[in-house]
Amino acid sequence: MHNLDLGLPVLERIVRWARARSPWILHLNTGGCNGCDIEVVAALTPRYDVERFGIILRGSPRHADIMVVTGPITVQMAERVRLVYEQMPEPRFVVAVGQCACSGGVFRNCYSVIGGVDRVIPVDLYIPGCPPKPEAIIYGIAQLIDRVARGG
Amino acid sequence: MEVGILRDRFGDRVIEYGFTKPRRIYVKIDRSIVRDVVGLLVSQGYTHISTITGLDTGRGLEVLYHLDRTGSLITVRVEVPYDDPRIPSITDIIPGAILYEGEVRDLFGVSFEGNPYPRPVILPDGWPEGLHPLRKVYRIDDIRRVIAERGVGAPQVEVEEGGGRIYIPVGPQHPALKEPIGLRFVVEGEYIVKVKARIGYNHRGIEKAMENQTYIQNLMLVERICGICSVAHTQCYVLAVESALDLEIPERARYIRVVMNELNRIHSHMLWMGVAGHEIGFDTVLMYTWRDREYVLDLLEAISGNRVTYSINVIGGVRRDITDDLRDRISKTMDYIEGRAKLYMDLLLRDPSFTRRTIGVGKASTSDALNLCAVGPTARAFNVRKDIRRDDPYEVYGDIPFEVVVVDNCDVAGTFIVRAMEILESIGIIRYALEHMPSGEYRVKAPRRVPQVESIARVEAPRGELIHYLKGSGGEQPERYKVRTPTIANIPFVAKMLEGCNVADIPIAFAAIDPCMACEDRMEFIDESRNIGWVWSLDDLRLYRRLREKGSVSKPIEYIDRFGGGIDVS
Repeated sequence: MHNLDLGLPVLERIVRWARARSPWILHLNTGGCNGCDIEVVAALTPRYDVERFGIILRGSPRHADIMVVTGPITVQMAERVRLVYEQMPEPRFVVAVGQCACSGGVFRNCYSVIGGVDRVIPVDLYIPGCPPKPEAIIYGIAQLIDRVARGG
Repeated sequence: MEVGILRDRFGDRVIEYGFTKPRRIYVKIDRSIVRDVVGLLVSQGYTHISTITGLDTGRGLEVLYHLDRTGSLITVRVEVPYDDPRIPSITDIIPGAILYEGEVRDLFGVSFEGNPYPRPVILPDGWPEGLHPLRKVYRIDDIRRVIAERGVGAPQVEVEEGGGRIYIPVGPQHPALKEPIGLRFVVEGEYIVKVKARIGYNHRGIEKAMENQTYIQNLMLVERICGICSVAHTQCYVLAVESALDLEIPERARYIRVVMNELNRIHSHMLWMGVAGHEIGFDTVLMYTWRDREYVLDLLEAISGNRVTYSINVIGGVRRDITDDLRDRISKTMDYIEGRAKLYMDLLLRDPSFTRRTIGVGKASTSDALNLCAVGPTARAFNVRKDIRRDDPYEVYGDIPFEVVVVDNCDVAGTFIVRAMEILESIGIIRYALEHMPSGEYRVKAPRRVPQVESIARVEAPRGELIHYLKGSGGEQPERYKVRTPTIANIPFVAKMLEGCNVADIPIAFAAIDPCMACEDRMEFIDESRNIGWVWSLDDLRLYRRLREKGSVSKPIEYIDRFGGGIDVS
């Protein structure tokens, strides 16, 4: 992890190092059942403790590097997800947590559901499961951090 | 009995009445006497409205009012023709009916004359006029095609006039939870004058989808209505289906279900305590309670194989048994949790950083809680003795001794005390159930087809009364399935609680009902006198609160002048 390219300018290397060590996340539920949400929060609490990777849950999209999306995209939320995404500074990453966020899951046949997050905004990482265990979420986030360290 | 009084009073306009199951009464009346009948029932003690169900029978529409009096549920059925779907509103008699009427209006196109709630209630913004998704003529594919063509769901800006008052739209991404809800606050200075809730960001259309799936497939979908009270939803679903099938399940399965229900309640209440701590900026509480909650999840995982969606309840019993090894493990963990729950109560109720943010916050009266039909721990914290486990017992709750925890604090601190004490009661119930659990089978085979009957099931979910309504079609798929979750019942009440609160108390007062619809911190303020708008995060709110206590700022606008962030919106 964090195999920084030594050919890069010093400043760029510092920026990447800093980003990879403080990936702040924004958590957005777009119509899910709360199951994934509580597992995301569980990952932040002492037993799993992703804060040791420098991850902090932020309230504002303007502070966040990574958007963690849970739930299928409902018709009412679709435009709002895009608005929230657009408020995030570059480089920004999107993680779809749970089966619903990946593809619509059990709700794919509901009339007010559009489908997975990738129908609205680009997704960098999919963590399937209903809901994924905190271990799976940590594994996914660790892979993403690796990517952030390499410049996204 | 009240139904007899109705016949005496209204004669032929009461079309039929009778009993279906214990504590389930139905009465079919003419549309012209809805308000009189509801008024009369309220005077007889049926003051709580559980929900209003809409039905499309193919010959016309039907509206079902489910009114409750300490456990006995009366269903008032009114027929409404397609070509004139009008019915008088009952919101002035029972204010708690406001959202239920709005929901039926959205989904079935029944117009409740006199309901003040703006449309739509749960459907997306810009939903096509006249497209009522739960009417049988619309198939899911048709609805999806129409909304894809029309671009439904785009945010609509609401403009309101008002001198000197500040309008604060909060959400859908906002401070109290992780789920979306839109709240619009009218603020005078620092105090909230009025609150309007916009729900429906999570509206997926599960009820319609259920009509197209078999009962076994629906079990999975029902569990995913809410991932926190997943046991409660499947519990209510299997109760409704088993009641329609007249299916008796083994005694052991009933006890296992009770254990699962109570474990679910414990984990949910601990989760809430953590969230409440977080809302007042006391993250240590979050870390403590969530760490201990993991032990409960370990138990649930050991019993069912899953941490969140347990799939334990099936039609005809439970999927897995509780073995003797597991029983010992559960008792050991319960001893630990009991100690921790007592510790939290002891610590937090003496800790000024907790008490000063909760005692006296979110005040409302007991009569408000009754009129607005609050449910669950929220109602019990406002001195309303309502608990479905006691009033309308299901499974074996009628045989298990436990206390219904009621306090008269009438504020946010009360909701904390109720939940903490309920953890202790749940531990007692689990111990009793484990001790008295009979041996034997834990599952019977159930038919796949449900006859053309109706059944209503109620469960005390961690957040309060949960009600499911089932109408069988005679086939493998339900004709109609309706779910009313506890949070929607508490929304009108929390709006009342928030009135008179401080802006900075919004997160904790809102969290007090343990809302379960899905959010994040972002608040938008507009000062109309200066045409300056700004967005505050929860951190801004917390800092603002601290500065205000020190006396360095007195109004939100001063904070903006000092720290910046204002945008000209003129």
